Amino acid sequence: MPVAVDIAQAALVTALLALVTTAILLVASPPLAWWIARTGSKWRSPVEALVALPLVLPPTVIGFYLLLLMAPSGPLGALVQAVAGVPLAFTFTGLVLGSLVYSLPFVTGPLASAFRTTDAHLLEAAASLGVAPTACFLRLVLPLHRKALLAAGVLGFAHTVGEFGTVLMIGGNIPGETRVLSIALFDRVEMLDYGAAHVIAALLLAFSLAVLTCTYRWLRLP
Amino acid sequence: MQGRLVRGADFTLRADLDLDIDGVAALVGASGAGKSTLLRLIAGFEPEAPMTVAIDGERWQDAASPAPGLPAHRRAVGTVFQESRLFPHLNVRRNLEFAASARRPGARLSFDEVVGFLELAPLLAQHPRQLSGGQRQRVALGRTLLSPAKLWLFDEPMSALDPRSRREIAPYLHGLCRRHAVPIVYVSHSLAEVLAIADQTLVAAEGEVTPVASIAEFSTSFDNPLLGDDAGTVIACRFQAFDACYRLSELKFGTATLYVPGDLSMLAGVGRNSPPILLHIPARDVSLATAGVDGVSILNRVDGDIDEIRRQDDSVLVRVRCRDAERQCLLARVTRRSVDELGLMPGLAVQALIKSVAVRTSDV
Repeated sequence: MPVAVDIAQAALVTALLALVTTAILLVASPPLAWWIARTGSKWRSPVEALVALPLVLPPTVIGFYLLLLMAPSGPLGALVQAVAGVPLAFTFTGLVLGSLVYSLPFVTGPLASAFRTTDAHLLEAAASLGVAPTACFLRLVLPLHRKALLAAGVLGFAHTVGEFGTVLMIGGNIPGETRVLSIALFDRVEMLDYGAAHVIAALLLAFSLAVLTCTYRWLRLP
Repeated sequence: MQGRLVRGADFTLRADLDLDIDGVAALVGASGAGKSTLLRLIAGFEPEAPMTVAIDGERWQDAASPAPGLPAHRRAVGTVFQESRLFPHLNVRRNLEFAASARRPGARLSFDEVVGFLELAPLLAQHPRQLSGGQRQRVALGRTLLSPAKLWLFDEPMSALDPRSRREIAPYLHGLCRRHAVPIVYVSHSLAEVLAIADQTLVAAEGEVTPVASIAEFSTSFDNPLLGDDAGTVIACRFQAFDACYRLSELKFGTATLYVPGDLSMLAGVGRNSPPILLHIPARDVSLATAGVDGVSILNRVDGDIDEIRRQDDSVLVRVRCRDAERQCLLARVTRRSVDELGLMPGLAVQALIKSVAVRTSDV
């Protein structure tokens, strides 16, 4: 396979993976972050710890357990195989599932921090007008924190693009299906193809730098 | 409303109230007496507090039950706060529409009605940060009017405003109080305001909230915590006749008569149960005479007996019990020297000379 096609294919898989993962996280994370920010439940600390685990664990540990879970003999893998008739491990779907887990804290964490700063006076005002909590969350809390939402989305996206260890464990490096840029880079270095490695590394570096710069600039706008 | 709420070592709120609010009930009391807490309990911002709150026979919160009370958004109560609390990301129109989208029982005014009444049309496209304090509070008021409610709670809606903004918003607030679309509990620190808008009063003192029957009784009570320079009397009167020649209206309270400039026949009402006309007489505009006086231009003279005398800084407030109207008193502000020279003391018969009397601004 020509190098350019390989890189383009990996870039496409990476972009698709990051987009799907970020989209799902931007739907699932806000309610979870809101709960973490507001609850007085005794379950708050364990849940917070669970969400934050990928921040501290070696990615390979998460990858290892996800692999066991998603393998055809694993509980989730067997279930999906039985219900949908497709395997989970070494597929794009499996990769999305893994990405959701390791990128979760990068979206939920900043959101929870932002939600904690919500002016309780405004929530009281909304309640005094008869607006139900769900509507209040959708129409007041989310728009008030739209910058934090964007920042969290960008962080989740960029982190999904950059993840390596977990993807290596559960992805299987299948071109066009699960080979992402970070793994393609690893491959090229192993093959001592430093020319291609330079292209991929520079691509990832430039992308991350550009995205972060744009985000910080946007966050600073009034 | 019933219960006892203890917060820390130095805050207790006892309430055992059965209120029948028709119109505006002013809630007065010193800072820290529990006025705001009382409103928060009614509004549902303290659903865990051991306090029973019931409205129209509907039990929103039960001191005897461990379950939290009905959440605030399901209580048909609208609150206007000290700060406007507008939603900063929405323009004025959207702020109003946000409130209008709420679903709960109770009366609500239409969007056009509210915008017209509060003159919000020129502000609709603006954002809260572009508005003055008074304008913001006007929008907050409109927002509350658009949400269905059986009761409105006004928590010192003018206290955070500068005097100019206050003058700007007062006519709207007072006009609203007069329309009585929904009963209102109005927290105020201003006696002038209370005398201008309230129909009845609730006094919060030493952690206890007690109702005082009528604004007339409240205005002349020396227990009134707001008593100060603005002291004055509110009297409920009935329209009697209009003298077109002198353009004076003749009003009666008991068998006593008061003359008020202008034609008040349109406030006369129909039938015996129509609401009375409330007159406001500032205490500083009432003089006392111990002997009958002739050759004075003052038209309004009321005979009575001194009930109680209260020294206040450099002047003295004298409460006179009117002879021709049972239970009605009048406050007069006199100097200490007058008290000594005339020998004013409780029981003494006097004539109150009333220099000015006006229909309460909110009733005009």
